[in-house]
Amino acid sequence: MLGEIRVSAQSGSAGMDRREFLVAATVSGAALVGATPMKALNQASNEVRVALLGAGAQGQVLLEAAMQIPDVRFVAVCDIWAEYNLRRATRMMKDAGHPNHAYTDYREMLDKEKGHLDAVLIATPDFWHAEHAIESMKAGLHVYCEKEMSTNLADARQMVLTSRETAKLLQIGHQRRSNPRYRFCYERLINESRLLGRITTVNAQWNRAKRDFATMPPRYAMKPEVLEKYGFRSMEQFLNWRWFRGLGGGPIVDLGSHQIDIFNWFLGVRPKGVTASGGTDYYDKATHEWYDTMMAVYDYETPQGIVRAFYQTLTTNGFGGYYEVFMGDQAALDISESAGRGSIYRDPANAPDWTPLVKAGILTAPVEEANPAAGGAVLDVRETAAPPSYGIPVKMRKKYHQPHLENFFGAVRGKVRLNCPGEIGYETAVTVLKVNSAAEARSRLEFKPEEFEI
Amino acid sequence: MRPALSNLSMLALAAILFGAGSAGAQKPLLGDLPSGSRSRPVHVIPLRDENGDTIEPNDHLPLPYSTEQTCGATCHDVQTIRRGWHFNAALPGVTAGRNGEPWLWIDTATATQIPLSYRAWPGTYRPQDVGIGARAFALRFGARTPAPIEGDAADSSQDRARWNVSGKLEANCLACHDRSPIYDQSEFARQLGMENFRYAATAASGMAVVTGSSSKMPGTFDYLLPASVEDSLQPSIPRVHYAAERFLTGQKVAFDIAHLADSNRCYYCHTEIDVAVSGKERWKAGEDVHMARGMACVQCHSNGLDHAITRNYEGDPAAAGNAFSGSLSCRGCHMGSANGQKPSGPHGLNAPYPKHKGLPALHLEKLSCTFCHAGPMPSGKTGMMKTARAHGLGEHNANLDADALPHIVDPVYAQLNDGKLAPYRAVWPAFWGRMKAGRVEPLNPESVRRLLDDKKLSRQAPANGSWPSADIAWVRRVLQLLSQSASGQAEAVYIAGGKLYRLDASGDVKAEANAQAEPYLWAIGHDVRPASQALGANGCQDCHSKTSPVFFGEVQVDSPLEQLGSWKMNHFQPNVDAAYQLSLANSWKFRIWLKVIGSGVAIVLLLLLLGGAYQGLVGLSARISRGRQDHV
Repeated sequence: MLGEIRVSAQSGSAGMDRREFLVAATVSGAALVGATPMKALNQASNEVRVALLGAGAQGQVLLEAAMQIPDVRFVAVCDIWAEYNLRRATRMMKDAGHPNHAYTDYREMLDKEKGHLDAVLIATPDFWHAEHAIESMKAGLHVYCEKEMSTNLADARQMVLTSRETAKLLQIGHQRRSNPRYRFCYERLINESRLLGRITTVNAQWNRAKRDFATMPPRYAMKPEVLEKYGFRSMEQFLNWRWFRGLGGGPIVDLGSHQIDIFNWFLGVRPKGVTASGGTDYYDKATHEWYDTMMAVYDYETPQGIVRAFYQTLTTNGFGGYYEVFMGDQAALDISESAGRGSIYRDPANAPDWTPLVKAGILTAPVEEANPAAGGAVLDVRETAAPPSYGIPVKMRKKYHQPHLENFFGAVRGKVRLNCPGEIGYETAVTVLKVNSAAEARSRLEFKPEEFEI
Repeated sequence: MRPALSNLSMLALAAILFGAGSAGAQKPLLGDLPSGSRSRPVHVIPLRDENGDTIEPNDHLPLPYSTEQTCGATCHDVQTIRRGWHFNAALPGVTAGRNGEPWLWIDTATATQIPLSYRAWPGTYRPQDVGIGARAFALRFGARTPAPIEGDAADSSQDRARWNVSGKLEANCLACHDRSPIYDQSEFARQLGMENFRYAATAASGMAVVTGSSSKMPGTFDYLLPASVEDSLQPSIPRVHYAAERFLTGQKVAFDIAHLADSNRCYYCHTEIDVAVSGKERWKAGEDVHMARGMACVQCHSNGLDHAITRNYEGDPAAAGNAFSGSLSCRGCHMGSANGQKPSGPHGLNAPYPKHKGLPALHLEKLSCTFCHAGPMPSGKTGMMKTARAHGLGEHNANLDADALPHIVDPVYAQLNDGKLAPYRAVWPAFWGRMKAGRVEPLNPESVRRLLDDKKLSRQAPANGSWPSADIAWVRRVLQLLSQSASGQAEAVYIAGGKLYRLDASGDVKAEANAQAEPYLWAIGHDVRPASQALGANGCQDCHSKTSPVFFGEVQVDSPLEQLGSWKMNHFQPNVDAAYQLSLANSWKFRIWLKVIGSGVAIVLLLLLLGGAYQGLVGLSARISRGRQDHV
């Protein structure tokens, strides 16, 4: 039975126990099945030469994860904040044995590094993604671009079209799509084992504690003319661009996009409509142009029936953190990118016996809950007993973005398909960006099928 | 003790350039100009962060202050200070001098106790040669040195990335010069344990409370933009909470700085104490006679602006060419110049001139002053002692168990360096290595531990922190594992308890003598005992007897494997003729008879002499009487 387990994510065996190894053992082979090989560059050495475009906090996260991957060599980095980000990223690369050239102008980088680069990782603010990705692909580079693809769908669409025209890879940074735990849940638990039964509802959130705007000592400030050249009014806006209209999409896009992408993926369909309620309720509207509180409900029509999916993001209280719960009539799957969270709750009244699945290694046995009666309390007959919690046998011990980057570089080498190509990223952008519109419209907005088409 | 390790060649270049500058052209900084006063200088100064910006305590995100920037921005020449003794261990071209206390790397899981030093002291190993990078070194030993530690080539790539998170360890001026009673170096150590390198000095000074832990931060953590970490880590973000009342007008703070370091500061790194009194019996411990007389460490171990602090032993090459430094030895202060003149001048401090009554001059040629006057009084066997640097004395979680590793034994009376007999401390090395060109190259203990962990061969340390249980069978299995893990590589060996263990052709473990297995020795300088407690105060037989601990004592062998007994003290005294010493010792048995007989003979001879003289006087008197009668 174990030999039949298939998970189509790239993964390594380092740090895995026996069961994890068995689960992951088929990863590479499965990933190759159906792959559309691209012509790999530098096939002789297997080395992929990479530039980082946008070296802020997220760029550094990608950098750190990518530097864990063998045969990935950073050769250039570009960031407009020469006084800080650029210096810091350059040092990080050098410390890890990646001598590099530093640029503040991406065009100069693409020009001077022509012929010395295979791919670029883009982690600039959302409103720059399209230009950076399109010009990079036109320069002959494969692109890994952070989500959200853009602040507007027209630019996002153009990114996909450019990818097609140039035949360059465009991977969008919805990294859960390559996370072995998510892939295992999608492929083995939801699709193959139908463990949840008919999915009826989804509930997800990303709540964050209140935070002040980021600040920096004045000595690091960029010159006003540089800020203006790149579309920022001030250093404050540059450091906190995610809150500003036209630069980012607010928390629903920053945080929600990752999880709403999972709605589409796991349910296998596009949403039909969305209602939302949100606003800048806590912070100053002058500084926090996007909504600090957002609650949205999607409706999906799956072959099995209607699914309603609730999502909330709060930025004033971090209770509960971030997770997605898929609820069916037989079980509920509670999963999160946070490695410490991941359980499947069997509904004893409706689900079949899962013992064979445990024996097969598809689930780990539930830990016995303490008997509530032991504490002196008597369970009321009208209460529902807590269902037993089974574990997901796949562990994710790498940095969160590493498998998605491995998938990207594997695709660059022509060995695997992208797990989140531009087309999927575009569908997610369509799905997510409409939440803000729905909140402003204060009514349910429908998705037309053609909206998802490119 | 080591300086910046990031780029030795750059440091060397800087040293050359700076040396040239300081030789003439460079203008002295404000704090390096003498004020002409004996009074303690006042330090009311602004705090500066590591980039030189003035600290604003009410900033949204106050930063820790940088000692190098705060002290060095306009007042003190930090680059020169970085070449002083406490800072220069890894600089090229620095004379190592005689052996000093090593850094002892302990790993109970692999039964490792290896002496390390960035100085070229024979018997120690350079950390980088054992695969121990600057970061691992800083985490283990950084609280016991004021030296900056900034990363080196031996750091793993992961460690290199972590420097960005933790910051670097700067030269910590306050470790020696802060006289404030709330300066707490154990807090510095606590901060290091949390990888809060850039925050440690701030926290130790009491100027601020530092919360959070860099060790919990991801590799991309940016201390200037900390908000980007996820919620669950927010409480662990290192933050500085300055004590507002410490800030005076103009955001200045008052430091209680002593240009001559208080002895209390020295003690944090230089406490040495017998295990028997290191714990609850601390009150029974003695004290160096100099300290008991009210002296301070810096009165002997002194330095100028160059921080080239003196080590105070005769023949110190670092003091060559500097008569003043060279005079700061036992002999220099107590006996003066070579012609035996009593010391004089400002540095003599009226040191008592030793009478050494009845002591043949030969002793001053063959023995160091410390032989009779320093360290614990010897008994038949060596004892064990603890040092601040080896055992974390002064830290709240220090293991004070008498048997806690590392095991340092003393006193060992040995002849090293100048050939004089002197008391030493010793540590028996224990480590895994490979034979290369006739020498054992130690393996990285961390790598060995990972290998042993994988095979469940790691040893469990006992609760008291002593050696784990280990035997020859375990050594065999580990040697076999090391051989299999790197087939084709040099032969795997284990050193412990003065022996080298290797597999023979039949796969059995063979133990043999090896020079690298011999204990590493370093000289005992303290505590100094006065004449009344010195060897010889009870007579010659303190040393010249059959049971003399200095010639016939036993040095306890320390090994995780087995009780190996002891080595004779004479093993460490290559130029001492044991048979002669034994004869000399035995001669004391007959000396009383020799004295009785000698005295008797002398008395008889005296009586005979007196008798003869009497006879002569009588004869002379009679002759005179007869002469008078004849004349009449």
